[in-house]
Amino acid sequence: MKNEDSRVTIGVDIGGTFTDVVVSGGKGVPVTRKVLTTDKQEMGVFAGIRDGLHAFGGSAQDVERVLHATTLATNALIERKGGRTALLTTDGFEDILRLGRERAYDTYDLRLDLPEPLVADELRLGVRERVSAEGTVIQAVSAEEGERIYRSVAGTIDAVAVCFLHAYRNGVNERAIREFLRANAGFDVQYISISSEVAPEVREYERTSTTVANAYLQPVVARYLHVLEEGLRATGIAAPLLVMLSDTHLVDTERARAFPVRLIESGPAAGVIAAAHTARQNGLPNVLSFDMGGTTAKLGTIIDFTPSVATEFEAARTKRFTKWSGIPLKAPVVELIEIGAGGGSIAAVDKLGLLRVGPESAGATPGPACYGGGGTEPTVTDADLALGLLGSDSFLGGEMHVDVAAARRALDVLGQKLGLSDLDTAAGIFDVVNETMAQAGRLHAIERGLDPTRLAMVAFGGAGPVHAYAVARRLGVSQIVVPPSAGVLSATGLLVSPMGTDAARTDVQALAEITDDEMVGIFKSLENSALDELSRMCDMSTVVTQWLADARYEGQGYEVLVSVVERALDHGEADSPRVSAAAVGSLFEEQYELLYGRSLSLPIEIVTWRVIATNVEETRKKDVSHATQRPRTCKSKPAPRTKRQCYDSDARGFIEAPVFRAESLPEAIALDGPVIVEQHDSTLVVGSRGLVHKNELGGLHVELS
Amino acid sequence: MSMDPVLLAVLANRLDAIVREMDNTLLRSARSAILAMSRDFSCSIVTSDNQLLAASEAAPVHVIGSEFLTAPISKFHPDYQAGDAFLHNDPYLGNTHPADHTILVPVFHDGKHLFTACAKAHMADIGNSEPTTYMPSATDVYKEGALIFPCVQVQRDYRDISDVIRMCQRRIRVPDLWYGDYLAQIGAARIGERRMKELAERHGTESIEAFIEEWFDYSERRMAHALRDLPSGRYKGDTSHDPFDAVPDGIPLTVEIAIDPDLGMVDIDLRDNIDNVPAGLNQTQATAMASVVTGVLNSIDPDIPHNAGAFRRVRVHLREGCVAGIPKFPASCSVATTNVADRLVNVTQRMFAEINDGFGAAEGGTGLGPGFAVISGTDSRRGGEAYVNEIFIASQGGGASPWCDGWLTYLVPGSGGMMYKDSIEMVEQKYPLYVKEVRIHQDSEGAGRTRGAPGTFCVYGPRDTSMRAFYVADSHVYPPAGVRGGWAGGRADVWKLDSSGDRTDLAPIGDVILEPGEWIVGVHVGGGGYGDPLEREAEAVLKDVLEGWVSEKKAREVYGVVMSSQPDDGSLAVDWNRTKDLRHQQMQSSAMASQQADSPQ
Repeated sequence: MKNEDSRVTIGVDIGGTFTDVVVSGGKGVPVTRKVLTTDKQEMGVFAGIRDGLHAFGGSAQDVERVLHATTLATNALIERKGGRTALLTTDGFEDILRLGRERAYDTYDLRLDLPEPLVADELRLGVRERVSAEGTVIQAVSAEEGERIYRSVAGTIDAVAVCFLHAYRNGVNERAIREFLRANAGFDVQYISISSEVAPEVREYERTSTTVANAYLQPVVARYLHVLEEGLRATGIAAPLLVMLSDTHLVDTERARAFPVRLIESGPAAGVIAAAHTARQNGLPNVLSFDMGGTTAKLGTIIDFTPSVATEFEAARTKRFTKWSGIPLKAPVVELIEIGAGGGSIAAVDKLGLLRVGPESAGATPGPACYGGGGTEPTVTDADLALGLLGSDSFLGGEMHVDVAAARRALDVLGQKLGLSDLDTAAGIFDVVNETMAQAGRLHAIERGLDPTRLAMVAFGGAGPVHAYAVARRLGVSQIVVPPSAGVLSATGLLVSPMGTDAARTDVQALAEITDDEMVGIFKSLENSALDELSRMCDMSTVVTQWLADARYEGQGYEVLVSVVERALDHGEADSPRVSAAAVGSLFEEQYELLYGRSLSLPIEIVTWRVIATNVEETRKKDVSHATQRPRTCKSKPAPRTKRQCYDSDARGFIEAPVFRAESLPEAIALDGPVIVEQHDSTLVVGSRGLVHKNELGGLHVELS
Repeated sequence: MSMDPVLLAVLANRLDAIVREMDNTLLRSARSAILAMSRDFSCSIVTSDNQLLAASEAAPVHVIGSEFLTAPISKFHPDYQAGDAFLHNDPYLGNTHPADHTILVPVFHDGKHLFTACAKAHMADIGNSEPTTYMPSATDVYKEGALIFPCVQVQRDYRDISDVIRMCQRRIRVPDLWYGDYLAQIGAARIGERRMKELAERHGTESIEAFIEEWFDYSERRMAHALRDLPSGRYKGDTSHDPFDAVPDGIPLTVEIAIDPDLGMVDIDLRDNIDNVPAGLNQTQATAMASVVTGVLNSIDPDIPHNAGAFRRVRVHLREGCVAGIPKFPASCSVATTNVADRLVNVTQRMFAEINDGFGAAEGGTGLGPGFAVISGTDSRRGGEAYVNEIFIASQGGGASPWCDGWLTYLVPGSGGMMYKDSIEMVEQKYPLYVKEVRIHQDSEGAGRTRGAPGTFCVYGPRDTSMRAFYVADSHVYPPAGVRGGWAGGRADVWKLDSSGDRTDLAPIGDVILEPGEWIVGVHVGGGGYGDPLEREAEAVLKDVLEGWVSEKKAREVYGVVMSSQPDDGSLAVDWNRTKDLRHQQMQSSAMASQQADSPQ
């Protein structure tokens, strides 16, 4: 056994521009490395790891785990780089991917641009088979059908997706066609995804879409993970590679290869886990995570220290921020709302004089006008700079030069169209973008039955801390926390992410008719399959499972997710938890009332049953350090680095604010707003109704009155 | 601009969020499939002087004209106050049709009525004389038999007035379902009330009123600006709804449009149409207006705020007692939101196309065939419990526009793509039926330079108990027209297959009782094409053939595109030489034909 102290964990997060590497272990301060993301993603990974390990002073043999988040799956979907895939449907429903849900994303725009199906026209094939809504086989798959399908697809494809009607209830026909195909000696396709395994949930379009995306991604993801594992071994790292899923769980590569559709939001999931970790360290159970970067802002809720996870989302949208324009996927995912509001978002006047900010972005090139890279349109960053919220000497700790005059020129051109001065225009941009983000956050919270005024905020991303105070004020949020080194937050998140698996199945059951034992039976069988998977990956002594149900009033079209039971397995397998229909019913009504403000006296049914198994060891281990100090006011205030005029959104005017550097700020000393605190890669702006202090973990904590 | 442009943007954004929240509340808490799954509802905010301020993303025919609904509140209830709610489904008083129950909640701030929050939803059942919410054959409102609520008070002090609730529950076939949906509507309207009050509290009555004025003016300018690109002149367009028993000559329709691009104004006149017909197809004031306005909106820049300010630029002239106007009691308007309404949207957008290449659109699929039927019966899986509801399992093709092909999942012109297709699995869970097939129907697209979208071929039948289906398929006689040389979309058709597979044709508008083992087949309509199919890019035709939407035969005969199999892998490709020759030849013969007669459509 290795010496505890020499153990090393490596986190690698691949983003669009940078690959972030964090090396952490018992014997030293964690080391972070940023390298440019390479075309072949694994090259950047190897370089970053070598470099990071060296700087940390660890050796390849010390590495205990390599944790990985990647954009590979999402990019493969967007860039259409997956395998050539065939789709087998129930005969009569071959057009399912085309007909979709019928919902358009714009009422009056006849030029709708919807994603092309991932399966070519001639590869969508109907199979004569049928299962009823109750799961009874009405028509089995015949050997001749198997032979016919084999002849139609053999030799031309890399992967097969199978999705038959009601297969969530009974997957026997899906398995049968898979067996027929595999039984053919000439069939060399390795990847067959069947819907009863990928997403055994009701609603055939979404399930088909998910199964197809899974099959389509399998060849690419499998190849990539193989190369990565081989490469690590060549570097001398024998430790297992664990991959981050969209739902914040780490899994082994076997599971990642089987269900690559679950990897799509890998990176954002790591970011939210880091925010949740920050929330936990600061003792804030209910939080709005606010991540504002260069092109977008992402907002999500964290309840009881746990990021909210949705069971469905859209990928590869043709209109990035528009619902209904993407490929729907039934896979657990951190629930984030993403809007086109970032530092690079361009401000413009619409056709008739109204100020708009985003969603168009100046990106990294040409970038905001102040970057001097040829950008002439004013962006949010230009406004922030002109308003004194950002200092011209504080970009990347002063390493990057910015041009305030260029920003003001760009603002002035826009201002002339609005009849406003350059600074009033900048203030307008600041207010509009904050309003947009606050609005998105408010809706996101309300739609989950949460009161935004009762949430704290964790702000990160390059522009997050600049706007956090103003957004918080609009939302009525009273506390903000900014974690230290927000720039590599996602990679840090990997280090505190738990391993976990889940299982789900649709099986519609009226609460009035099902017995308690039957309910336990369904949950238990799902739990066993989730635990089976997990036991391959980790020690099971610190595993907890959560039993959940998608329930609804009979006849409703939408389900409400209800948490039924949470249990720690180390209490022993024997004490099977008690579950009663009455208890589930009242949990459902409670949740329903939270969401819609009332409950109905109607019969309830459970539609989909879910079990999540999580190894909580990692999260527990990292919980040692807590920010406990209370801020204290001190007569002798620390001296600011400088002072500057900046815009105060409360007063809607300019005031003078002292500017501090976070690293030279003493802990726990409370500073009254208005005040500006600069970190290496971001700047916290606090208005006149805020009080800020640095906690002992290096994070910044703001109280709003 | 007199108002702070930043505050204007902020408040407009807030309004959008409020109607979205209303929508979300209704959608997630509704009980019936037609609301919870198909989304046949809308939410809106109307000002106290009855102007549409903000509407959710909903079927245009549902939401444009919501302002007609609120005027009766003060007329019939002069002492109305906070805590009141009104139920309104009266087609003679501004509602769309009786199946749409609207809940109206006046919003007060500092004792002053500022807004009305509206939640309108298509009910599963409304107590009609037959188990359907669409009664095309009803000769008048008495034959329909629905309960009509002319803006009747249904809540006082935020509490139900139980007399009205009991009336509904007595008469409506699925009383619990109805009440669940009613509560969802009340919930949505009350959320709207709460949020609008918060807005008024935060900004004060004065600045809210200033905002409304400014926002309407801004929207009006946007609309006027969009209309500036249209060609000036007066135009007239004709179409017709199919004939059936109740209207043996069909319903001829005429729309006159006067466009003044300099003033940025459009006048649409529907007065030169026949009187109310003894059938359930009469328009209401709301649907007639909404339909032609939708036709205009489909023809211009989509990015315009849709409110009373913008609509000041579209004047719609209606006549009382007219089939496409304001209905005269007791004319039946049971089916006012689809059939004739769809025809009005169609003819309006087609007229714009006829005026000038590059404008408007061809006609889209109309009517509600068997894939959109109201089905009823009993379910042996639930101890013989009765069911009645409208299903949405098919799709109809949209008309082609100058820039792109028709939109595949269009449903009907008045829906604007805001409805959802039901999940077959959910439908089979809820109702005792099997769906055998929902396929895109080959060659049902209206050919054109840009083509219409094809319709669907849809087959379903009951499991072990008989089932009744009511449907209203239009476009069997007059399919959706193409424009500028484009062809018409495929026709609607309905038939029954008995247990031995024999076919019996059914009336396109009617109802049928299906026994176990029998199937109903619906051929759903395709959209019309835009421009000459011989000008369509051959590669696009190839793609349609590969997709299976267009047959090789039609590709050759109508589009003049010849395909051949590649020698290496057998895949299909355009035979460019033969295509060029064939197209040349076809163009010449069509030029000759047009010298003798008018163009193909």
